[in-house]
Amino acid sequence: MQHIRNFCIIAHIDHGKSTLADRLLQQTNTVKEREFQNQVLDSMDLEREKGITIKSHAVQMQYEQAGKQYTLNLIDTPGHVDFSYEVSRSIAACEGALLVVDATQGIQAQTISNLYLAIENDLDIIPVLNKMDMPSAEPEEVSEQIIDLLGCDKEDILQVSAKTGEGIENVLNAIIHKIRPPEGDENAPLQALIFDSFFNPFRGIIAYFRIMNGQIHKDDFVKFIATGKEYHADEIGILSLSREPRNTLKAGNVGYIISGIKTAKEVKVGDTITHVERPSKESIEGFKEIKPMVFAGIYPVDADDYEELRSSLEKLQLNDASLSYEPESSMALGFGFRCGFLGLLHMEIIQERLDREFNMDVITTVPNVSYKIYTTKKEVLDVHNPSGMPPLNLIERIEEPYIIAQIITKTEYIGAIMKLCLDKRGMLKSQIYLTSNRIEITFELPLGEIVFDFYDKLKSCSKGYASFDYHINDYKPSKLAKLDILLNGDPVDALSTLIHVDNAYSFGRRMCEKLKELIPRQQFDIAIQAAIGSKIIARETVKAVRKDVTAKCYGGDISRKRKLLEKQKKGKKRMRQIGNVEVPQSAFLAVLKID
Amino acid sequence: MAGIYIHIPFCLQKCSYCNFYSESDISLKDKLINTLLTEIKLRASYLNNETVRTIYFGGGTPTLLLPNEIQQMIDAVFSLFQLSDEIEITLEANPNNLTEEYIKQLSATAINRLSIGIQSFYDNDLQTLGRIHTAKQAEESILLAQKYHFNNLSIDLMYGFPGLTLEKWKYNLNKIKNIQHISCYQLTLEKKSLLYQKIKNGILLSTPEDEIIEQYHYLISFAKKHHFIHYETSNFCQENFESKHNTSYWQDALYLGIGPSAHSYNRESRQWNISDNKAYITFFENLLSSEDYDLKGENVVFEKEILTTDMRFNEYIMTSLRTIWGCSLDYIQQHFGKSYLKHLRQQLSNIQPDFYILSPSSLRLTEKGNLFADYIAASLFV
Repeated sequence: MQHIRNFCIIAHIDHGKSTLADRLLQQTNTVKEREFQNQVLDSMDLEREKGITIKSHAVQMQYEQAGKQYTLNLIDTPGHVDFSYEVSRSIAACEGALLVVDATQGIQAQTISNLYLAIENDLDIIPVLNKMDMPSAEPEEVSEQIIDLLGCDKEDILQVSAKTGEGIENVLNAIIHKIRPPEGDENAPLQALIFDSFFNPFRGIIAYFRIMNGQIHKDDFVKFIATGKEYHADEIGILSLSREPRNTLKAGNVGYIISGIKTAKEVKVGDTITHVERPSKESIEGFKEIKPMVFAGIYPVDADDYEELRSSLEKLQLNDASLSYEPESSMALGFGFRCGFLGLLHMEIIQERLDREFNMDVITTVPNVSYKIYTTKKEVLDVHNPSGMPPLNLIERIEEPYIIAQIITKTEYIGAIMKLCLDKRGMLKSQIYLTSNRIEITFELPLGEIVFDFYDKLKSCSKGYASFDYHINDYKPSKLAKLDILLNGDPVDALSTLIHVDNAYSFGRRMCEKLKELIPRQQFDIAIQAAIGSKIIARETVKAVRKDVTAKCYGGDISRKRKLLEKQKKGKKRMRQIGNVEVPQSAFLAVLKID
Repeated sequence: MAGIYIHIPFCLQKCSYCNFYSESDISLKDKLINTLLTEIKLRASYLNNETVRTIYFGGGTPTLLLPNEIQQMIDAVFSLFQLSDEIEITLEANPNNLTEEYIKQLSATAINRLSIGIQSFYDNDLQTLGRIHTAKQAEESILLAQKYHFNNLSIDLMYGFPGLTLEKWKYNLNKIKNIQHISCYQLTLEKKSLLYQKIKNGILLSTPEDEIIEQYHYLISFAKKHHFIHYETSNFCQENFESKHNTSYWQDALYLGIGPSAHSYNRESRQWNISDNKAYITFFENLLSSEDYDLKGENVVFEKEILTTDMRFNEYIMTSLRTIWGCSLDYIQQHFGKSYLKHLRQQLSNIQPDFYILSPSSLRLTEKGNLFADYIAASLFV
């Protein structure tokens, strides 16, 4: 155990985490030169493209120094706020962390919140300045930021370039000497922390764990404490670049277990593995059921694809337990699913994976957060779908989830960001100057305001120089209204939203304007109305087509004309019929991007 | 019953709204006439011995040909096809070509119907439309045609184009109230046309929809007042003066198209000749000089689309609903089958009841429905 080091890397997107990991793998000969593919650990195409890690990964390296053989376990963490619970579990599995900061950009909000997590978990932190090869590197200024945060000495900060390989030896050296070896009792009852799981089509669910105490053997009977389920350890092993089976793994080490588990739901990140015989009395602290925070309906574009969508979601859930879904139906969109996501990025990822991996064409409805509705009958309802809202007269009060958001930006963008947050019903909590021109602003904001277009707006009002992180705080009373959209008097359920009363009027007006652009003229006038209850708050009209007939249709025109009308008819089939109004798919999508 | 269309692909000047095929270089005229004669001969069997009821010279500008050249082609048709006793032979004519001498010669040919492309009786409109003739020539051409006893005259007018006011439209219509047949086309802005470019670039202002509709309604009331039968979307006539040729397009009749870019239809397929005078001429020259007259490599000179029953049904609906007679339910049952009739009745339920009249024998559109004929047709498509 003295020769094991467990560590993770904390870094902001694009600060070079994956590249640094690649270098470590090369330097320790874990990856042979010819097998090398940039960003080895980001195994999903989507991860490589987005430059963020979605799933955790783990890899074991062997490194010899001064005649001693060290086992280094790198646990790679997801790089986005949506997955902060997974990050916290990965951190809990380590004794140390590399804090990687881009020397050209400085510390970002995401990094700070993960760093706090690491410090809370008492991890040994090794600060690393990356991208030192760049001419725009500002090691002095960024070092100061790090010293402010960590209270470390300047000499403790390593200067590297993951790109060129400069300084990588020093990083390995620091991992061995600055990160303490794991503690734990090999002879105590087994306690292993699950920090991630993967779905393998041949082997089922593979759980990744860190053994805190005790040891695990092949063919052991094990129990997952939170779920209470018992399994046979068909295979255990370590994670080099690929899985390497072992017969025994002991406290302090990181490994995997295959035990014929079929569904991802059975393997919960944060759960504790112990033995059926001689079980550990306690589970490892910090386990939480993760709950989806953002909800949206997902419908197949072609109604015939409903069953296929169901099986696609099923498969996605196999390796993404945080995705939840249940059947729902909409008058406008037919049959589909109400899906729960950890956040907006998670929702985007699911949409993209449906498209790429399953070739599914889907419509996603306006996302909602989960509201608590206290009824006059003293019930508390969790409502995350406008259609689930009880009649107004039965509602006593509504509470909505609030987040604490940290934004780090340059001082010149404070004004714009403050305005944005205040417009989004935010309350300023604190304002801390990190350096003379970098500031950390903390806001309390309703989550419902974030799920819409907050990221995009933040990006544009700060020209990209703002980093953002949040965590869920608590529920607070809210003046919430259900905003309905009516087409010629018929409500379109897929366009209903739950929205704060203060925003309802302007949002309703913009919805109507947008729909007017998107709904093609038909044989009659179409009234587009926004309503709260029975009160109409905005209206637009799509004027009727007055004439729809070609002037000439002679021998030479017939083929072309027929093809044109056939195409029109096909296009119409893809439209959704709301009462007598035909609504194109684009209308359902575009209202997501109203500003 | 069948029709023959002969395309004369020359125009000295292209109209600004037009995207039909024509060439301004008329040096190939003689060769082209010879080739048209060749094609008529080679394709004599296309119509399966069905009786030819109409011949139509369209363009382009057919009046760039001399009357005797036109008669040569009529003679060729007469010698090779079964003919109806009451054959209608139409010539599309440009007013500027209709000099007294020309009309006099025409009256000696078998042409018995003239369709004069006037478009407007205002010079500034004619300029906007890129027409080669003047308002004065337009008026004179009508008088001359009447003088030489062309008593089956058709006049083309256009509305809904930049610069045409309701007042001017009324004046234009009033000029032709005594004509047997009128075709009044709302301007269709073709993307490849000059007019489209000019409107897109802001040189001309397109007419507001309300004004176009007003012009259309005036046209309908004018037609009623002067006892014109509104027998097709854009066509009006005195009793028994329908264009037999054009009507055949809307009633699933066979037609043979001769000349570059001309379309032919035989209920199994539609084919259209290449839109290139030189390639067209060369193809038939090579064919004649080769040993056998077999139409080998025929796909070089035309494209062909095999029509499925669905496609033919769609076309029948699309064209027949444009007419006052509508589509014949008997015809649908006989030529397409009962299932199509069932489909038609089912689809009708999605259409406003005041758009159509369904009788035991036919489905036709109301005056209101006429305005939405395309939408209705598309809704009824299989």
